[in-house]
Amino acid sequence: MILFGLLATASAAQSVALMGEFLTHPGVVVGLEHPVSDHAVLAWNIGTYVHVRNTVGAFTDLELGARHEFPSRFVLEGFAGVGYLHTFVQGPVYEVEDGAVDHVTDPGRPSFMPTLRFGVAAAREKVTPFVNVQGFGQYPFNTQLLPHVALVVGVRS
Amino acid sequence: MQTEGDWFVVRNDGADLPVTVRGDLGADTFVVWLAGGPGDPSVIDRGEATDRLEEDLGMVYWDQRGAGSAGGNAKPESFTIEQYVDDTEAVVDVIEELYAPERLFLLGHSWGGTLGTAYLLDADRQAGIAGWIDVDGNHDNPLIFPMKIAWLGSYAEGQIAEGIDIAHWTEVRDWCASEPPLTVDNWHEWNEVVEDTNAIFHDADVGFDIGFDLLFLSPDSPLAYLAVNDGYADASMHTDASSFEELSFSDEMDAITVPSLLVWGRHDGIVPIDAMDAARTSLSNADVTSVVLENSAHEGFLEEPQPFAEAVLDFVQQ
Repeated sequence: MILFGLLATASAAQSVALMGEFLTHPGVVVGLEHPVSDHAVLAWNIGTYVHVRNTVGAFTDLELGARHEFPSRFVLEGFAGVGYLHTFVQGPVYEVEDGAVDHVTDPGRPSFMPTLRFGVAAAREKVTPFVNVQGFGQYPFNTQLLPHVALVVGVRS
Repeated sequence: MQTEGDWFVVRNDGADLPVTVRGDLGADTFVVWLAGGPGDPSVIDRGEATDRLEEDLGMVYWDQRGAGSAGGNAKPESFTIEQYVDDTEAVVDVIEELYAPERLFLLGHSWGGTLGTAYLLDADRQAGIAGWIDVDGNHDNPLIFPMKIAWLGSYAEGQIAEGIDIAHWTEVRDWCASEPPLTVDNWHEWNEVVEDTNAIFHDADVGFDIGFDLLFLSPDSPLAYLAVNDGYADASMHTDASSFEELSFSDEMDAITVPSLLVWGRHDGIVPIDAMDAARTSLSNADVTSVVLENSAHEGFLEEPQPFAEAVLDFVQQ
């Protein structure tokens, strides 16, 4: 987080957004962006979400994105990247050993997290609101890639 | 759905098994529900019948490994009947630890009937169970597969007689008449065809209740089931074809001595009612009660919820 804060002072844009994993599981994402060309940006995001009685997810990802701003200042944007997702059970976890039941501390599960998001924004001088639909993966989940979908609504400066 | 009852995870051998406990949590009688599939989400079994049972009992619903919203990283080779039984024992142990019910019953539906039967074959495990409720359970693959084929063949004859898709149902009828042996491939063939029948629900207007609450406001993860778990357990168990094709408990069920209730839908095409008679015969050392739901197929607790609930309550409360 300290590194994130330090880079924020030097980045071209910062963002903060509300995230709805599968629409109704709330979360928040903060991001930093650096331009790599007129239409491309490199983005670093940190976020978390909660699916009550299922999962708490904490993640960070690095994305390469492209934006096109129309004369009307309407923006189309798309990002793809990779990241790390750590998920915790959102509730008690029990294990049984030789018939003895233990309430254990869940260390969580690490996952590889590919990401893909598309959306729109309305460019403003100071703060630009945006809406993205994001897909991200969680691997491994029962040896396979579990897809997630989220709505991300936020602002960037 | 996200605040009622208790919710926790039982972590066992690589799998995270979500458990929901609802109803009267202080009741002296609990029922552990073993869902079908393998792989079905336990939540789809809930409805009017389970609501009624929850008024008097502690009801335990859980997603088995690779089922519903069950997570972790369960590998294909872990999907054995022995592992399923071990998982069930872990869940039972946790329930006993947390709630200390005076009496604990197992209820198994379809594949859950297979699992519950396997669980009870061990005397130590059986000693902790007050009674067994087998709901359209599949306790013997080699014995019951011909029953499934016969039911399907009869259904095909009916469709032909009514002039419905004659070419397709003639092909099905002829396949059934050839008495295909139980193999993994034939099982899949049967599974694909039977979906177009009323083997699961006798009444075409009855189905699984999957609404907004379940999809968006519950502990369940639709994508976990639809994108990963749907078919995972089934496919994993079928990789050892001989184990699947030889899965049979008929000759061992005399080891089950706890009181047993068999509940079957008259029109069940998934595990036809002849299987109930076979189960009753095999449970030769148990006090067996049988209840037939005359207007149901494979999901009697959804098609005739009140008679189903009454049958279960009468049994557990006697």
